[in-house]
Amino acid sequence: MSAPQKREIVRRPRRGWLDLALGELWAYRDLLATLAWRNLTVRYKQSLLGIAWAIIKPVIQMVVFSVVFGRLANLPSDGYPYPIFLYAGLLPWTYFTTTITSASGSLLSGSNMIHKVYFPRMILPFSYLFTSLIDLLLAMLVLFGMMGWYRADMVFSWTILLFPLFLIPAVVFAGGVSLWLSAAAARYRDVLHLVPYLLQLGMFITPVVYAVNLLPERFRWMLQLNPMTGVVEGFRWSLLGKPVDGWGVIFAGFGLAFVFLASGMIYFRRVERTLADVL
Amino acid sequence: MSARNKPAIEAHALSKEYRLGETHRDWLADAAARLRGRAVQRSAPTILRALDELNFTVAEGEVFGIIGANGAGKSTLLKLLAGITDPTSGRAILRGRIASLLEVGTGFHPELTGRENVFLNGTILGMLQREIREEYERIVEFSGLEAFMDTPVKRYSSGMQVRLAFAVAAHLRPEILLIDEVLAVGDIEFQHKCLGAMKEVAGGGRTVLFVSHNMAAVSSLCHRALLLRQGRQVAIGPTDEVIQTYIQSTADTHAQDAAGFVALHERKPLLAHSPVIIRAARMVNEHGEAVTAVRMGETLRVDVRVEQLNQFPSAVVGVTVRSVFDQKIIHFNTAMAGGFGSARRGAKEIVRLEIPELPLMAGAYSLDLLVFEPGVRLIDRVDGALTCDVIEADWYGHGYRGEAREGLIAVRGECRIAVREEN
Repeated sequence: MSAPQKREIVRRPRRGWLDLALGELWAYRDLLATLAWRNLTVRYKQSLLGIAWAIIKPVIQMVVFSVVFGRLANLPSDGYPYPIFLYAGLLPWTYFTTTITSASGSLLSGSNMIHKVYFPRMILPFSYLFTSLIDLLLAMLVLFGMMGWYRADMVFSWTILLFPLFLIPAVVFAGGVSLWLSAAAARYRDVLHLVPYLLQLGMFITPVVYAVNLLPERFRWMLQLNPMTGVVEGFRWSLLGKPVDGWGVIFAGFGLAFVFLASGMIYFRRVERTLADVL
Repeated sequence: MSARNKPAIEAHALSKEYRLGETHRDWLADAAARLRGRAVQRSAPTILRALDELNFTVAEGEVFGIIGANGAGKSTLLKLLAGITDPTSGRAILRGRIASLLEVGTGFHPELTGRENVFLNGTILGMLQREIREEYERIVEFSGLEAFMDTPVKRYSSGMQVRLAFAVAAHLRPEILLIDEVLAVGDIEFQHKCLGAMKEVAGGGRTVLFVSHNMAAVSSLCHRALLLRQGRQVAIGPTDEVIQTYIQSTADTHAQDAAGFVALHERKPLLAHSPVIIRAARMVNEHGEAVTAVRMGETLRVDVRVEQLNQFPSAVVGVTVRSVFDQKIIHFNTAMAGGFGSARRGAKEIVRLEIPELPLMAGAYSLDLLVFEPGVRLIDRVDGALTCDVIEADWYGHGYRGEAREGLIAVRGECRIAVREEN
């Protein structure tokens, strides 16, 4: 099983800032998969309902928000039934928040592994991207059920097939933000205290519980530059057929998500050099 | 270019520095101090050279030991080679697939079952899922935990966890294996099994770097060894020679006064709020002169200078003799000798312990000193306080000189021809 040519590995002080070691990340994909699976298993171990919680949690949130924001506050939903309008946006947003919440502390909770074994450290925050993705796909089942229920009020089209495409910017953006926050939290624990407030703020600047047209037209671009706005709008467009204006700005927002990922990787690799020493 | 015949591991001026002291500035406190017009006081960071310009090579298939006292830099060296942390300067070249085993059971999750943890731990250690599936049956068999594989690991005893963890580790198939102190766990029987597995690994043509305090394991497994002292490379060569150097070097680390007392007081007290009781110690001959050696079968005399022992009326002073392999061979204390009787106790005393007819074969030993309340608590202890060379002598009276490598305990016996079997 041994290759004729042995791999030569050199350990020396690292310099430069563009060595992202992507090949190594790929070589450790088995570990990424195993950790994603571990996160999921551990989350639902010794609970009666188990993985059903992945469905129950967003449904409860949908009911509560529908009453508070839909009935009491009467927020606009572009003429769609409020619950389905809300749920289609709540799903990607919940994906984003659960990923960020668990990934930002992932280096701290995995510090034992970091001290004892070598592996590309990015695997730790990245593993949560895939754990939450499974939650998201399960919760989608409810959405399809609701679409059947409300079918009289809506027209569905071939665009449904396109919704997985909008997962890409969601994963990319969540990945970028996770890298920034987890690396920063390894150095400054303060970050962990800030994360819940950042996410709360994020929910206000993402049209989850309201429609974009709540804002005057000249301010909408600011909202749309937020990559998660694009994801939420993309979900509603592909699944519910809701028309979207401002695709240009939305795609610029998706570009921003990739900028976050790239810069996050560069910053993470910097922190990684001394990670085992500062943690 | 073939990698054949090139060493598996090369270190060139490999160094690692740590900054001690404040790692994080508390900028809020700094700002507050500045507002009040005070200068920000901050001591310059102390730099600790954990590893200082190491140069060595390890050949392919060699089993290489790393020894040294605590804090000598052994574990840091393994961490650098494993890639867990980067060197500050210099470099190391490793040829082949690496696995590091700095701890058994890394990443074990208590909520997961034994089976799930085998897969988790295996991938963390660098195995592929496919490889674990192939080895799974053998791993379970090695651990002897067939019946518990579907039980969460949190219900395992700590011994069972170690078994499972080592079973995974023993089935790693890297070309270079870095191991740190993993044999120090589990019961004796399992330790033997692990040692056997280690020998198999060592014999399998793999390159192994092995860090341990267990000199017996190092000497039986390793071809060559490296001795580190305070981050510097002190000796490198055949294992037994390096172990000898290590034992002699530990003796040189304590300062001696004119009466031959080795100072032992510069330590933290073992218990909070209790004094450092053992201040100094020496070995003496029958004339009361300080010595570092005793002849086989003669009396071992140890003087222990103690302070404030009278704060602990029921305390006992003891000495433990250890072999090169860190095994405790003899323990003797003042309670065994009937205590001090009604003699009044002072704040400063020299306690003498005597073991007549020391039953040890010739070789190097070390002495631990301890003060404890029997069955209650340990009050003070100095491991390796003194070294004691037992010198060969004609103790048997027939000209034969016994050595520690033949056996540690010296006994006199008889022999005769019991039965003469002729044709």
